Amino acid sequence: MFTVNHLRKTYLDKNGTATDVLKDVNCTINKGDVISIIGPSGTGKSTFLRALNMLEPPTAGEILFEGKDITAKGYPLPALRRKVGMVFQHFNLFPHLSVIENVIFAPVKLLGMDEDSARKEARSLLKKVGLADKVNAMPGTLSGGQQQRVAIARCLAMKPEVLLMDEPTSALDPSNVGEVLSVMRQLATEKMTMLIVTHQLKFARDVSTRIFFMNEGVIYEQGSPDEIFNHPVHSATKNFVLGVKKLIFDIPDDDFDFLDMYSKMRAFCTKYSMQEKISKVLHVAEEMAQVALAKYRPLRVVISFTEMTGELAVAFMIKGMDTSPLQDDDIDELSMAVVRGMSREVIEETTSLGFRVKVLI
Amino acid sequence: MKLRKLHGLLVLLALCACGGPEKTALVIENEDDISGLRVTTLAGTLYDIDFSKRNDIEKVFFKTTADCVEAVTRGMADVMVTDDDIFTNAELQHLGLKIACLGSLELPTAFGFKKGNQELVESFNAFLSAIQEDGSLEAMREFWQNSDGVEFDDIPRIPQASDGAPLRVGSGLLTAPTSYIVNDEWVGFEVELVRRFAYSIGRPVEFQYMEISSMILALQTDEVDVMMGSLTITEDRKASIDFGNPYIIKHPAFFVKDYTVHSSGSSWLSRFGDRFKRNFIQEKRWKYITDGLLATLEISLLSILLGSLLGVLLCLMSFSKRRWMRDFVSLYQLLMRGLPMLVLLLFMFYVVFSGTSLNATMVAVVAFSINFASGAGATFRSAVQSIPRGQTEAGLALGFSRFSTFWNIVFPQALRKGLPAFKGNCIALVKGTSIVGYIAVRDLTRASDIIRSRTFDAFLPLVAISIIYLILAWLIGALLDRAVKTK
Repeated sequence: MFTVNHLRKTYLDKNGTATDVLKDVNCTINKGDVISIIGPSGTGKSTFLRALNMLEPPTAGEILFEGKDITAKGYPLPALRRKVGMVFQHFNLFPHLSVIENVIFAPVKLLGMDEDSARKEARSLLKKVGLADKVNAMPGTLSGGQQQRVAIARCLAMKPEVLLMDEPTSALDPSNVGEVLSVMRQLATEKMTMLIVTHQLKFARDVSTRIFFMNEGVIYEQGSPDEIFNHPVHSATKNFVLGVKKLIFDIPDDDFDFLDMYSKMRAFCTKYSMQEKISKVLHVAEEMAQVALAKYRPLRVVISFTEMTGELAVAFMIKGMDTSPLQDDDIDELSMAVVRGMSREVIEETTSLGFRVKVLI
Repeated sequence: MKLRKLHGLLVLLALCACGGPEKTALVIENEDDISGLRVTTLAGTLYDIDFSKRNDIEKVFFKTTADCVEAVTRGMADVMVTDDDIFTNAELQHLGLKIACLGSLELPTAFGFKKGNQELVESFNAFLSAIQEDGSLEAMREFWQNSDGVEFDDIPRIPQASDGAPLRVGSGLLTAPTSYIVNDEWVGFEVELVRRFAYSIGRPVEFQYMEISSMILALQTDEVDVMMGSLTITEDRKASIDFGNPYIIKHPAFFVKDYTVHSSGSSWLSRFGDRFKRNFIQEKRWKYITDGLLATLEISLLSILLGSLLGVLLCLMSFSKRRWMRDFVSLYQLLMRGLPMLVLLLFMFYVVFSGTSLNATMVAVVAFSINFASGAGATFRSAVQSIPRGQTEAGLALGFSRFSTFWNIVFPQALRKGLPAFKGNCIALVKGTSIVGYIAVRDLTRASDIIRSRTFDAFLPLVAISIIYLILAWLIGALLDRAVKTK
């Protein structure tokens, strides 16, 4: 359906500096695909999606739809967009029209449907998304989840061949997310071709036929949900799907501001609701960085939290070393006893960069 | 307690009824006696020029005789100086004025012509000496001086030439018995004189009222051929216009308030009834108001229509990708914001459209339209900008073209958003049209001027047109609300 070759999008900011949001995107989208596009923010997921209906014309590359390049000058974009529906993060319903008027607006004006049959169809679409009783409401009186479901019905009224969904649940209250996801799930079971930019990893894993993991302006890794979530090839993919959050500190020498590091660690724990582990984290960090490993400088300290498993760890990395510093004769035994007492496990391992001591808390 | 309050009120009422201590009229015996007094006269006349040199008097100058009379009768000025022949005796009585004394100056009075229009001046002079010799000039004077109570139908009708270029006459005066309007017809001593002259040279005649100051300009730009209105020949004026031979020698007169004539004991209500009759019923004066209302409506509605279309164009241009178009809009709006509406109107009338056949009402429509477009354009632009970008994106994504997205989705929403500001633009325009009198369009405001010039009553005509303007403003707001609701 879509074939994308070497797509690039460059933004110029006010100072004239160019930023490549999309560097080189290549992919093929087939009929019946349900593709979730995941990845960290700012990596061009939305830009890529919006390029597919030319709301965001790319700087270079081509997008073939039914064999024709839609980025070419003179390509009839309105005709393309009638076949390619789009659902927005902020719904973008027409606030001056009622729910049903929103749904019939485009079919009547663009497809030349007569109003009666358009209304009939709109009613059945609204029933499908669970809003049969809101037919005559104004959009402003609806909750975010309801508005988004109207927006989906508005798209479906044009009988699109493919649906582009740009973070459809990101602007919603957590309590409203479920109702929208269930409508999307239903569409997926009906074999609607969809591309969904989403942060709902569980939804992406359950519903998609394929996953695009986007990072740094390219499709970093793609595959089936099983491949991406259970056997990712790249560590960036793995970190993302596991939801690994980290904070890195480099200690060059003893003039380093340790207090600042501790307060940042404290904030990190608070952010991921790990308040009860703050004192353990700080004790481990202090005993290791300032006592047990005091002679190893520079030292890298990484605190990490994995959302999927709930694992909190503090790792200490000594560059260019291949034996464990814990095996040294003069290691401070008292300190190490404190650390082992505070932790679930201490892992000693060599890596390509040097030796790492990882303390699981 | 209550009783004492009532008592106090009664005393107050009694005082009002008595009207305080008796006052007597000022005594003025010659020009020197006005020293230290507040003196009022018509701006732009010989007296204005003369008194401007005197530092021993307080000057209160107005643009119409009605305003000067009002100033004296309401006590804003002590004495009014103007020509001795402008009021009939009955009128003086009615106004509560009297002549304290006549000045010694001799004031030759004549018609003004465009400088160098020798042919017209000579034919007028020949006409004048003929009627002076056969005594008909004197008879005319006699008639008009005693014209009080003369029925409209008894006013002599001068035949009018049916073809030929019309002789366009500007009058700087709307005062009986010299030059005034009755039943929508120009009458008076000077009017008859000029009608007779026009007939003698075989040309029809057209009158319009203008302020003296703008009339000299009108003469120079060929808007009018003859200028009248009790014009005194002065050296200053001779520099810019030519005069015919004088047809009358006038003297200045000093008018003061006459306390001996007082409203008789009739009730407040019946006095009000009299005033109402005098201002609106007599001589069908209400017709000035209805005609003026039509003119105001015509100018306002046409200007709103044309100006809005032009405003939409400006709004579209301001969103253009072409830089010169956006610059043009900025410059246009800068110009329109900075230029006083009156200046723009006069510029259009005397410069841009002078010498064209476009009538004054249409010139006003053009001037107000291009001014209105600037404000309306800015209103439309900010209304369109207030519609979120997502609305356009939603329209485009559904498959609407760029134009039809704007027209079907953005525009209807912008209309609602911009309505309050647009209503403000429209109402400001309607009120703004009250200056069209400057280019001799008889609108609502000018209608009240004309009535005032005959009845010398400022209050009622002004109240009447105020109410009409208020209703107009409300009506336009209501109509716009309705139009948008049905859209």
